[in-house]
Amino acid sequence: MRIATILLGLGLLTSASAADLSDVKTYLNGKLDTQLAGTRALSAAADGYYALAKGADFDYAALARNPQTRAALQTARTGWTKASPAYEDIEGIVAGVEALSEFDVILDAGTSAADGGEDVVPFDLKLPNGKTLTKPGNLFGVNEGTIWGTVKAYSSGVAFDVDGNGNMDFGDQLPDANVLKAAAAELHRQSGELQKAANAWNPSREDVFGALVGNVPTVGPVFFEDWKSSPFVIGSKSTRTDFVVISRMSDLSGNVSSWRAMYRGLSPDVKAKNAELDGQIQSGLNELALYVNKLVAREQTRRYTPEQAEQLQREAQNRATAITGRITQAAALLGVRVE
Amino acid sequence: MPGLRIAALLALSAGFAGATDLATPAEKMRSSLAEAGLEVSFDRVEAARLVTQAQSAYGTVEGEWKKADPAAAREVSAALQKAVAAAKEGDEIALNRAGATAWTALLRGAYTGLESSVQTGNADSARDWLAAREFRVASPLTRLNADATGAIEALAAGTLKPEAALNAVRSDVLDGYQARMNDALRELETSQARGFRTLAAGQAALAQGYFQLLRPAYVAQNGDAAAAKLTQQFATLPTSLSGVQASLSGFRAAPLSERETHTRAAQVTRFLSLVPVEYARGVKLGSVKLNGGRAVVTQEVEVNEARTFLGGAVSALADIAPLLPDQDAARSLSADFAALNTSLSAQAMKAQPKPPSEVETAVSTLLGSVKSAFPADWQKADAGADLDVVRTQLDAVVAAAGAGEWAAAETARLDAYALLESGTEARIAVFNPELKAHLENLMWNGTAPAGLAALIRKQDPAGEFKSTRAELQSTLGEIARILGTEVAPAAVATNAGIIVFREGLEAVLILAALMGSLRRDPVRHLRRPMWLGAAAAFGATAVTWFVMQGALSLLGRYGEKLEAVVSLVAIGVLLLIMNWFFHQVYWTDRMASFQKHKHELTHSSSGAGGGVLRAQWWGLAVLGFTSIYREGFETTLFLQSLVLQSGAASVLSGTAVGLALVIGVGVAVFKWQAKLPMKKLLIWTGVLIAAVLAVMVGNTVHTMQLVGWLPVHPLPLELPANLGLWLGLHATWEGVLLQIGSVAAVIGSFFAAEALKTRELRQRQRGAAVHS
Repeated sequence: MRIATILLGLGLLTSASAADLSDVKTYLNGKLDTQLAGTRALSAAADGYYALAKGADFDYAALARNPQTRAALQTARTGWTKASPAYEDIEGIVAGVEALSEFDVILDAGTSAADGGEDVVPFDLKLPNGKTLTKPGNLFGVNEGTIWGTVKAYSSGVAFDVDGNGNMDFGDQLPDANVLKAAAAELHRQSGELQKAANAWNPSREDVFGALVGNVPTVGPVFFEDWKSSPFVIGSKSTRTDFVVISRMSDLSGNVSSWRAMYRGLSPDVKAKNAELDGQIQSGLNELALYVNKLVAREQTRRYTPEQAEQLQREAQNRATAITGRITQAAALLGVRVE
Repeated sequence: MPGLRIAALLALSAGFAGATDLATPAEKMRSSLAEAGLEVSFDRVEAARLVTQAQSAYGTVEGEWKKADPAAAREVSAALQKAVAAAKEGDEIALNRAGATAWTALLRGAYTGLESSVQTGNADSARDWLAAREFRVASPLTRLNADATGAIEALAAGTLKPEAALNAVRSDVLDGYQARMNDALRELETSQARGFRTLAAGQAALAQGYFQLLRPAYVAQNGDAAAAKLTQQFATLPTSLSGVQASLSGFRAAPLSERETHTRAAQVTRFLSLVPVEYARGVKLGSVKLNGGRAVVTQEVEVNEARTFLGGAVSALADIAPLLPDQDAARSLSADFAALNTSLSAQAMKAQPKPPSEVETAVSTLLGSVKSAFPADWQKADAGADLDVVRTQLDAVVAAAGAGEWAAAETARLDAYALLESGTEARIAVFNPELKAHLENLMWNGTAPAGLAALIRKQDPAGEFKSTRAELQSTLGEIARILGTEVAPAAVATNAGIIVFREGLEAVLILAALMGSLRRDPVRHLRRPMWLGAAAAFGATAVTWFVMQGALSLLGRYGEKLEAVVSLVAIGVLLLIMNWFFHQVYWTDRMASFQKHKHELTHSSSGAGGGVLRAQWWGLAVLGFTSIYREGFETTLFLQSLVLQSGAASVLSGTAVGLALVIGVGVAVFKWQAKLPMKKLLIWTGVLIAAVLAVMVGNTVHTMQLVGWLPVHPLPLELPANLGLWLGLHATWEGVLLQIGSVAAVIGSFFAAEALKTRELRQRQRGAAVHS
């Protein structure tokens, strides 16, 4: 009890000099601008593709012969590829902050009604042809599944060399124009809603500390657990249908960026209390980012055995533990109660 | 002195002067060696570079380690040399073993430095060494603690003596290392089963190294000879694994605090019980035609969650298993948990996932074993664990509402409320009634922000749920703060006493008021059905107590609705009986000369008069029953949760005091009313009935508003929660108007009876005059 009192006392002494967390918002808004630029381009391209399909009376074989089709689809892919990593860079904040967390379910983490579970998305998707996709899953996922044809139901079934390399590769097919138009528009709209909510959010130290100690320990059990069984680790032996276009390590890399941005907002307060501890936390986050980025870079050249994948996960979790432990101590020194 | 303390705190708040960062080089050494261990099978040159990097990092702080623990420092250097050789030779196993040895020797040196610094009261140095610690593996389910950090700061501020600080540091840091040792031994078993030789070698070395760190504690508890034997066993891992586990049974390096022990015990049951729930969401039975009805994984994410919960339970059990009184039971329990863990491993699931029903049965059996193995003290409700589950359920409410799954949202809301009702609410009911009232409004049909029940009923958009969820988050935080403080047995006894007194008072007053009117001989026998009803209610309350022991949360779930129904019956009967009193008893008492009516009331032999009296008899019996049982049910629910929290002794003592007070008040009321002249008594009982009815109506309206059976229109003013607690006065128009209405009904009934009596008197007087 005495220890708690002292910690409280220490916290009270510094409460007057609360951290300036505006950098967290600046970071968030910057990434959201990029995300919105990507979703805007994706949505415009999806509209264009829909117009072409409508012009062909939804005869996809005819659409495949239209020279404008490839450009529309490539622009859509570029838009998605710009928006998705930008969101991954802020996912750690969005998922960890109570006021924003629902957007993570909608945009990137929610499951479909068919898959069930606790995080079913809360929306239905109305298609221009009047059909409705009931709770189809998160919007980045629906768009990914449509543009790259990994979800059969969202594909026209007509093969098409989207990247124009002369070969029929992964994802070379024409998407269902109705699904693509509706999914892209909804992704852009919800991204805009997230931006509004982010503008209204006033981060507190409790928010930021809580999001960090809740999110950093997910490195092993969430990101590496998914990654271990993906094609990026075990190649063709993988039977996964998700995390196939962008690897979970890339997602994690983006999340680590969020955590670093969040911690930057707390750093001055921690530094004032214990400069070494602040340095250790910063160094831990930087090292984790390097570790993850190294794995991302090696995904193209290396495949791992199950034992090596296990070792990689353990090491990642050890790093995450060291960071979480130190952030917990920093919160205690500042008298911040972490729920 | 206060001035000195403030100066010390200010000095601390200005930052730590002259600190040395031992942690960053230590972590650099560890991570470089770990990376080298991974890299060596791909690129030996890079592995060798990483080992050199580890050596350099250690080199920057080696001097500190040599001063603190020369033996450990030598061991680190030797292990690093071995790592260099292994990297050159491309020997993956040797490199991983060397890495683990270097790291645990380094941790041992840091811990020696930490203990010495604390013992000499050197907080600055202790802070540096503490920073080089390793934590138990972080998980999204649990939070790491900061007890050692708090102790060092208290030592620095001069508010904690070195001895006390050392105890806190040992408890926190050694607990972490013991958890790491247990993890390594557990993972060693798994790695061997999966044929992971490199991982197994590293884990054996880690376990051995952590034991060296914990060895002094082992020696202190088991003696040198046992420690020497165990050291030998560690050296021959993995073949000696079962021997190591047997020798470690019952060993705890640092005593877990009572709070930590209870938290871990609660985690074992809470996490374990969630395993089949998550598993059933991720594994379904396939079609008989397609795959013979075998189980298939449909949601890998959910299976992972099941594994995470099971991992949390296994880890919590490992911490407290040595503290179990029956070590055979502890071993058997640990083996059963390990078997379940293996059956849910990725390998086992790949071969053939178990059907969800099998997992549910296995977990149910395990929970039974846990219940019989854990001391009763550990099985008391843990507010923290309860609130964790409540938070999870509330998240599920919001998610389900967002998905438009209203039935699921209501189920999750009721689950959350049942858990609150069966424990948390009772504990805050007396200490902070305002908070209890606020919590109830948020869970049910409150306004500003709207209660969850109302939101679900109206199927409001997800955004509406958010403000209520946010408010609940802060309310639960406040509750956790209140309940997090240790509750003294005396406080629990007081709580129990006040609950019993408050609930009992209403029942006693209503019985006293009604029985007071049955004082005279001609109607005295009508007290009997009321007493019988009251006695039956006592019996029913006792039965409820035993039923609740097995199904507390289930009953908690329906508690409010059951209370509302019983209260409505009580009010209905009270109104009927009151009417009967005013029209029959008052009339009879005051018009005793009319023998015909007296005869009807006191001789229930036959005819219509007998039927009326039988109805009266049953009415009085039902009133006696409902008056007591409606209080008895709530009291039982609250007391049961207090027993779970603090054991029976303090609760029973408080209950005894509360009952004694209630009986005292009852006896005083009966004695006092016996001395009152009849006319005064009648007025007094009338007033009492009106007051009791008003309180009963107020509380019943509130309960009905809680469960959504009545609308809520708030008054434009706030009322203290104590007015609700004692007078049933809640700040809603419905409650206040119905309370006024009930009083008006009593007064109206009285005047109606008076008017009737006067009219009949005149008629009879006129009739008498005519006959005469």
